[in-house]
Parts: sequence; C-alpha cells; structure tokens
Amino acid sequence: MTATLTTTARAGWFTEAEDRLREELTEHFARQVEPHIPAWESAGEIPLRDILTALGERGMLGLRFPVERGGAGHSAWSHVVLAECLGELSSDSVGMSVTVHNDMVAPMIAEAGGPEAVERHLRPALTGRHLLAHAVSEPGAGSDVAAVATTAVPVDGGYRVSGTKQWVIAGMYADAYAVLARLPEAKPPFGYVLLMVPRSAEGVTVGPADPTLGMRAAGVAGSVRLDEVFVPQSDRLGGHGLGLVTQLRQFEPERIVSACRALAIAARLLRDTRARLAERSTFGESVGSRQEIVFRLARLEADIAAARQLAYTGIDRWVAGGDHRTVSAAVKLRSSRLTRRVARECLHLYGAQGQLTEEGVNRAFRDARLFSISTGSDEMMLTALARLNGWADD
Amino acid sequence: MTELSTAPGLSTAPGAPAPPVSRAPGGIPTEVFRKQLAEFSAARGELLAADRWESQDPPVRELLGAAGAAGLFRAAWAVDEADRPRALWHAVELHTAFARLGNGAPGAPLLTHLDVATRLLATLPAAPAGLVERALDGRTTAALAVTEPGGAGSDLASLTTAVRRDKDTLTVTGEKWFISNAPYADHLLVLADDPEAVTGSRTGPALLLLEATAPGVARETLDTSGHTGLTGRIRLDAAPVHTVLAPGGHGLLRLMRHWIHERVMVAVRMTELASAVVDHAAEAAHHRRTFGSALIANQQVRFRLADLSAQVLETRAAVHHGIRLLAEGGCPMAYAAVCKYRAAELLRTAADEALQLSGADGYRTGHPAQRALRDGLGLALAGGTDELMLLQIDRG
Repeated sequence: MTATLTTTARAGWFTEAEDRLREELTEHFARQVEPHIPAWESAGEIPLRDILTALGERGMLGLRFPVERGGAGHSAWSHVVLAECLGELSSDSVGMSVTVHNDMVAPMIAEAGGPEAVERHLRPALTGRHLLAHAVSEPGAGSDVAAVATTAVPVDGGYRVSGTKQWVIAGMYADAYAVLARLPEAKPPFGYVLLMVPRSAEGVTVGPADPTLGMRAAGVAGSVRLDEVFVPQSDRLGGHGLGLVTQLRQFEPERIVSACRALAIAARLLRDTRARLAERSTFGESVGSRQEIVFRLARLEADIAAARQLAYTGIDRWVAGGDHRTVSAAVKLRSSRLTRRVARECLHLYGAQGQLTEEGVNRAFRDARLFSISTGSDEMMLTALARLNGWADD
Repeated sequence: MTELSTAPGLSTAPGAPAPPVSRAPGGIPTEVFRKQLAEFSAARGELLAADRWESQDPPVRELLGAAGAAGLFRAAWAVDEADRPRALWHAVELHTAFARLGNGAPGAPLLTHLDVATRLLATLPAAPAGLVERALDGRTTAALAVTEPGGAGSDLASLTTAVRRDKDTLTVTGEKWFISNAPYADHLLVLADDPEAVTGSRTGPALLLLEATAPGVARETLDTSGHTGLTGRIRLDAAPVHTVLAPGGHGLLRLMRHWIHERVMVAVRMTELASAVVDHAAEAAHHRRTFGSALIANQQVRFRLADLSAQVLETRAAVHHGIRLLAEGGCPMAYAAVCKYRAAELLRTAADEALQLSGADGYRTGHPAQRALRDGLGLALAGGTDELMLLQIDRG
C-alpha cells in the first residue's frame, strides 16, 4: 500500500506506545527473521522455538493477557501490532505458527484455564519455550467443529481421550495441543471439553502431513493420534461440558486478529509489486505506469484500506466489550477473499518469475490460499453472517 | 475526541488492566437528532413519498424549506471550529436517515444543498453576507456548476465556459450540464476560465456567483435515468457575474479542498443507500416465494445477502473513518477517493443484486433497488468519477 494510505488507515486507532512497539517488532523481524526465511522455506522447516523465545525475551508475547497470568496487561491492540508485523514477513508459515501459539491457543488458557494450566502451559508459552498448537480438525470435522469424534471419557481425576486430529498447524513443533473432544453424552453446544494435551503424554503420536500447496514450513501435522491419553482435570480449559462454547467464543476475536495479519500481507504484496513494476519495462515503457496496471492496483489499495477499517472496528468492539460477532465473520470473509485476490493478481504481475516457488510472491500466493479455509471457511462465515442477520437456514 | 487522548496503551502501569475504551470514530451522541429526523419523516410522509420523486418536477424547494424550518441543516452545521466533529456526525445521521426515505431520492438534493453548495459557500470569504444563513434555514439554495458537455468532466483544466469583462461588468458565457439542483437554485456557483485575468491578477479557473434568474441564464431539467428531475443544463450567454468567489487561478484550488469533504459525505450517502436496499431485499426474500418456499430458504440467496451485508459493514467502517479524519481536519485526498470509489462500487453491486433478487418487481420504477441502481450510476460520476478516484489513490 502507499505510505499515505497506511498511515491514514491507522490514524486514531493506535497509541504512541503501540507505534513504538511496531517499530521495535519491525526492526527485530527485519534483522532476526526475514533474512533467514528463504533458507527456512527451502528446508521446509522454521525454528519456531527460537522465533518465539526471541519474542518472549523481548516481552512481546501475550501482551494483552493479565499480568497475574503472565501477560503484560495491555490491550488487544498490541496483538494487532504483532499480527501486522507478522504480515510483513515473507513467510506465513512463520506468521501463522506464531499466531496459533500466541493468539489462538494461549488466549484460551489465559481466559479459561485454571491456575495449574496457567502455570504448566501459559507462563512457559509466553517465554517461547513451550510451544502451543491447536488440534481441532478431524477427518470428519473441519468447519463443523461440533462434529468432532475424539472422545473424552471422564475418569478419576481427569479424562481418557481417544481420537485423531488432523491439519494441525505447527503440530510438528508443538509441545502441547489444545484438543476439543466430545463427552460420551455430547449434545451440541454442550457436552464437550477443551483439554491441553502435552505431546509427551503417553498415547500421543504425531505424524507429518502430506505435502501442501503452501505453509510448507509451518510444521503441519497430518495427524495427532490420541490413544487413551490421560489428561488431568486441571488441564481442562473452561467448564466440564463447555469446551465447544469456550472454543467458539475464542474463534471470534482470533478471526479479527488473523484478518489484520492477512490484510498486512495484502498491503505488503501490493507495495512490493508496485516497486517491482516500476523497474520492469516492456515495449520501452515502465509496466507500473500503464493505466490498466495503475487502476488495477488502485482498486486493490481501496479494498485493503476499507477492509482494514472493518478489522479495526472489530478489534475496537471486542476491546470495548461490544458485540463483535458480525464484524468478526464479515472481516474474516472479506480479508480472506481479498488477500487471495491480491496474491493472485500480484503473482500474475510478476510474470514468469512469479512462477518460481522460491519467489516471495509465489509463496504468498500459496500460503494465502489457506485463509479462506482455515479457522472457519468463507462458507462458514457466510452462514454465520446470515444467521446473525436473522436469516434462518432451516 | 476525548477517548483518543485518554486511550490506554503500553504506557499503562504494569498490572493495570486496560479499561474498555473505544477508539472508534464517532462517539458523539446523536440520539436527539435521530429522533428529530424520525419525527420529520413521520410528519412529512407525503412530501417524502417515493412517487413524487419520480416526476420531472420533484418538490425540492418544499423539502429544503421544510428541512430548514425544522432545523435539520443547522443541526448538522458547525458553529465554530470546535463544533466540527459534532456537526459532521450529525450530517452523517442526516444522510443516513434520508437514504431510507422516499427510496433514498430526497436525500440527493438535501446533500447537494448542505454538503455541496452551502458548505462550499461557507469556505469562501467573498460569499455575499447572509447567504449561508438563509441556506441553513432552507430559504435559498445554490448549485455548483462545474461539468461541461464535450469532454470537460473530470478534466477541469479544459474549461470552455469563460468569464470576460464587458465594460463595467463581468459576464460569463458557456454551457454546463449535469448540475445537481440547477433547476431549483437561486444562485449558481460557476467554475469558468479567466483567460484575461479579469477577476484577479492571474489567469485560470475562477469561481463565480451568478443569480439563476439573471439575464443570459437559461436552465432546463435533463431527462436522466437517475436523480430524476434533479439535474440540469445551464446555458450562459453573457450572463452577469454577481460576485467573484475565487479569482482566476484560485477557483480549482478551492474546489479541490471542498471535494475532499463532498466525496466523503457522498460516500456516506452511497453506503447507506446500499444498506437500505440490502435490508429491503432481505426482508422481501422472506415474503417472495419460489417453488413452494420463501426465497430466503435458498442457501445461495442467504449467502449473497450475507456477502452484501459484509460489504456494507466494511464500507461503512471505511467512510466513518473518513469522517473522523475530516473532523480532525486531515483527510488526505487519496483517502477521500478510497471512500468514494469503494462506496460507488458497493452501491452498484448492492443495487444490481438486490434488483435481481426481487425479480420483475425489482425492474419496476418505484422499487428501491431500481431507484438505487439508477442513482448509483450517476453518483459514480458525480464529484469525481471512479477513474479519477483511482488515479488519486495511486498518487497516495
């Protein structure tokens, strides 16, 4: 995006302290992370533990969580800053893995975990030494999370959990998984439990995923098999039977934070593409100065600028305690589709060079395709929007 | 805005949870005005009836008079600099309410009156005394005449209308068209070239005030698909200049500043028109039945409406941010262009899809989506075309 529009888009939403945090994170990522990305992507693996530990040492993880739970007591806007800085990185394997840890699993422990779960999982996670992943999807339950077949049978002191989870981002790197399981008597939305399951627990087997279009360095676990795994009651997040409710409640804010990352990716791609087209000439003329190109990029600029305001509005409602369900679904839908479109158009504008898998724009195109599928598909967002508008579907 | 100055950030004392404070644009109470608008629409049902606004002679002056007498314009007008945020958010409330009255049609002359003509006049020190005050009371109105036939739409540097000195008087000769409210205006604010620097020390576009009934001024209503009866052609044949509002070389500069405001306000109106037609389409989809069930029972219909509702939310968030920037006195031209382009795109899409969802009923004159589709086409041109907006976005 143009610098003017980016500055304008943020006016009034961020404090000076958050601007300083942005500068600090930008500098840290530029020095410590971005230079290594080509090699990491080429190897298909990122040093997630090192990345998170470096963030933890700088006090940049869990900023919004209460101090008594290991956080810094700041507002969710600090997490938006992190999300936007992650979007500046040329690998969303990094962006998504950090997001899963800091903005998908950690919040559930901070908000619904008991004191022992906080000590065991959250505090070490915020130092970056205990990696968290989210094991929700199953072969028969993607967006329809209520259909999970993994079962938690109550036993003395806890649960015995059996089932298989799949498509776990950062699952190969993680030390513990947030697992949604049904109780034997589950009746949606009740009768589920959300449990923190250490990878080291007896009965846990983790296997890599088949090759994927993108997210090739995200350590995607193809399966997390749970065979009669004992989980103590103290590692349950939320009440007995309230696991699905706890999970669904978490989806709403996490989608807005993810949308901020997606839109930052889109803005970065547009900026990089502009810079490249300014240098690229065909038939004796700069490609970037051609009217068709100018208009095409300006349309995308306008769309990103508008979607950012929706994302910030959603964050604001959430922070201020307002109803953010509709905005959450709307911005997840809009930002996912838009980021995919931006990535596709930018890929095209890079010409043949964009077809090389090592090119940043190629990776961005492959990585961004997941936005419309993960953490609630576009179709789920449309369904949610229709329901929230009162357009019944029965 | 007080929320912004007290908003907690990372400087909050360690351990203190951030209190829930909104940083969103607005936060200015408008409930009293909203009630006033509801009372106005209830009392003026006949004046606001959609069919009256489909004629070639809609009751524009009656509406402006009634709205002025009811204090609607003054409520949306800043008495001083500090009052600007309050006034702007009241203007948003005004245009939001009128987007849902009379198929949105009466809101067009209202916006032209308040946020184009009167707002521009108020920025011009040379404007005749008392004119703005009378306009705020709804007793007089002006039309901004810029566009010309023959190519000078967005390209304002190639004006053919010109001002010249004829003995002791300045006169204007030329033609303007697609001028909103021109058939109903008492005054015309005419952008004209000043090739001989007769209005000041420089050549170039000047902004001039003419009396609409002066000799040499001929007006006619254009037969247009949208903004029915609201748009006019003006022929000027040595028409006398009443006041030089901005001398040669300064006219366009004045307008450029004004257009930032106008574009954001037009974007508010377009967004709310889109919102109104989406809501109407959703409501109608519950009643319209096809193949034995309500239209809304189709997933495809719900998804289409859900998608449109998400676009409305997004565009509203964008234009409200534009209002915040205006209130703080610093909306860049590129951001105003984002607002206008996005809102035009939204209105076009929403009106077209809403019409489709209504079937043949939507094709009928008198249907809100059909009216919005027609008006939306004109709004994508007025005050700067989509293409001009894209160029301004590109410039950043």
